[in-house]
Amino acid sequence: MNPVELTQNALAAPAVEVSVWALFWQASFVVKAVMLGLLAASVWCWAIIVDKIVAYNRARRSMDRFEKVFWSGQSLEELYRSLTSRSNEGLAAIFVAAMREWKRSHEAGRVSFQGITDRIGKVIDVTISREMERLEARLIFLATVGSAGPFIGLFGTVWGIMSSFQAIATSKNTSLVVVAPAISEALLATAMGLAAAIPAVLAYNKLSADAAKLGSRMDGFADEFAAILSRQIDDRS
Amino acid sequence: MRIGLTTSVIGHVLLFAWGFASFSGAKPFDAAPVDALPVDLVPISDLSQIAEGNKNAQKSNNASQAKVKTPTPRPDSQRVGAAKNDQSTPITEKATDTAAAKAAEAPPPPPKAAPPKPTEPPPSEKPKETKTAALEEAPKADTGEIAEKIKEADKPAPVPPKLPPTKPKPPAPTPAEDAADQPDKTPAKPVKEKPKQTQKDSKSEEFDPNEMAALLNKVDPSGGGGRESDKEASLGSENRTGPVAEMSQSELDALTAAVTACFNPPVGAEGVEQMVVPLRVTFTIDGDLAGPPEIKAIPAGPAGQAVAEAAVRAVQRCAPYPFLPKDKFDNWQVVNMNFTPPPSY
Repeated sequence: MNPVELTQNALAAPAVEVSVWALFWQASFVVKAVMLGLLAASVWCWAIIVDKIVAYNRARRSMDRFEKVFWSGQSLEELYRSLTSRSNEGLAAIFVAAMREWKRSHEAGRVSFQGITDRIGKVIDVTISREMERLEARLIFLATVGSAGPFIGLFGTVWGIMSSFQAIATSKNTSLVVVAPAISEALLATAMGLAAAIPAVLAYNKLSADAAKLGSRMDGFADEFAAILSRQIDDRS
Repeated sequence: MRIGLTTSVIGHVLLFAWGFASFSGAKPFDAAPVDALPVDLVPISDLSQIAEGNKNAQKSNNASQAKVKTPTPRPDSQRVGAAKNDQSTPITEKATDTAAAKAAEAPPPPPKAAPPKPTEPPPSEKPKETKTAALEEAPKADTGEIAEKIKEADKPAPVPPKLPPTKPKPPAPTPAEDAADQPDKTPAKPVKEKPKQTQKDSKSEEFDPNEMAALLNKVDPSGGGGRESDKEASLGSENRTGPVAEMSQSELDALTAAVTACFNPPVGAEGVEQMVVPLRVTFTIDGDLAGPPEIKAIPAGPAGQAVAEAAVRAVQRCAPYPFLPKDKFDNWQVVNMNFTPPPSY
């Protein structure tokens, strides 16, 4: 036989389906579950990322707007009256909570100013922590996916390679053409884990820094407003 | 949250659509086709015969890295006159030219009265050459002279009468082949070819038993060892021990295999695989045993004696070894073999 013919016959490998979809369908049940879970995690991660970015931008804009109004010399009573009618967030929420506590203390007709500073401070703290909780909600999911995603993917890979080796052992054929699709399919799980985890980690770092910045801004405003209120109290007493 | 979720879902769907589109099929590697590796089966005797070495020899990485003289190709046979056999290569003009030149040099054509140039090829060969010769001589002589010379040169053509009378074949049959192509050439050629060829033919055709014996006895009888070799000695031991000096490895292997097949390990013997039983076996030319095999040394161990006797029995049981080549009887008349019992499973 012609050596060239021999070579060609040897190289004529069976056509194996290696597209991503085919790899997914060839995978075993566990690997499929891992991949689907990672896909869902990735979807949810990106939903959180988009949501948080939008929410933080909105919060920043509303803080800017409120500060502009607050420092414009407008009367605090008027501002309070205009804000109570709607739900507030951020600095406006802190302002409204503090003003409400102030008004209640006055409308009760009490003349004692003993505990009013403490009460206002407590109300402000509660509001800030509530606001921070709202801002940081679901960020922890990003952190979880970022740290656990590669492990989950790795689990899928290990499981897939394990089962593919079992299949190789039973088929008694170790040619690379037989081994390669199973390993490729198993590695797909790690790829998906990494694809889910990397954006999650990056976004978690950025979003948590943003949230911390917004929180410090709220703290600063709260302190300033508390100072203003305490000056008022001192003036009246 | 709804905005984020929808955005994320849409993004993933788009990403996967792109992924399926672009990764639908992996591109196969462009592997250059590998030629099938030709494998030659080389008899082990080729290797075992060069295993004998010289300690002062130059160290070479490859035992077969010896100087090899490429044999000079044999000239094509020129059995023009007696072409009983097929000739693979037709007689080319070039060959005839060289032959003609030789002939012109060696036997100077005597009938020429005054040859203008002794080395000049006979102009009867090719019209082309005569032309060139004529051109060369043009300044010397005019055409009339040339015509004369050509006539003169043509004279030696009918030289054949000069040939030795033992010539078995007359020059006549040759023209039958060549006349069709080069009618001019034919008379010249038999002149050159005959002297060699007649000798050969006479030898091959006459059967002389004395001559035959002379031909056959050119090889000196050898007392064993490898074939003569013009290769450099390989680095190794000079000791002429072991089977190399006596028999080729393949023959000894065949003998050992035959003996091993007949070997029954003694019952209960331990460590049989590690034992080596040196035996001295004497053969007749038929491959039969000339006498009982001799145990040169009894292997150590409690079962040594039993194993050695079992080896002797094995040699005796398979006794006629007809595969041993009779023409190398000198080599295997007495065989010192180290019999290794096969592992018993």
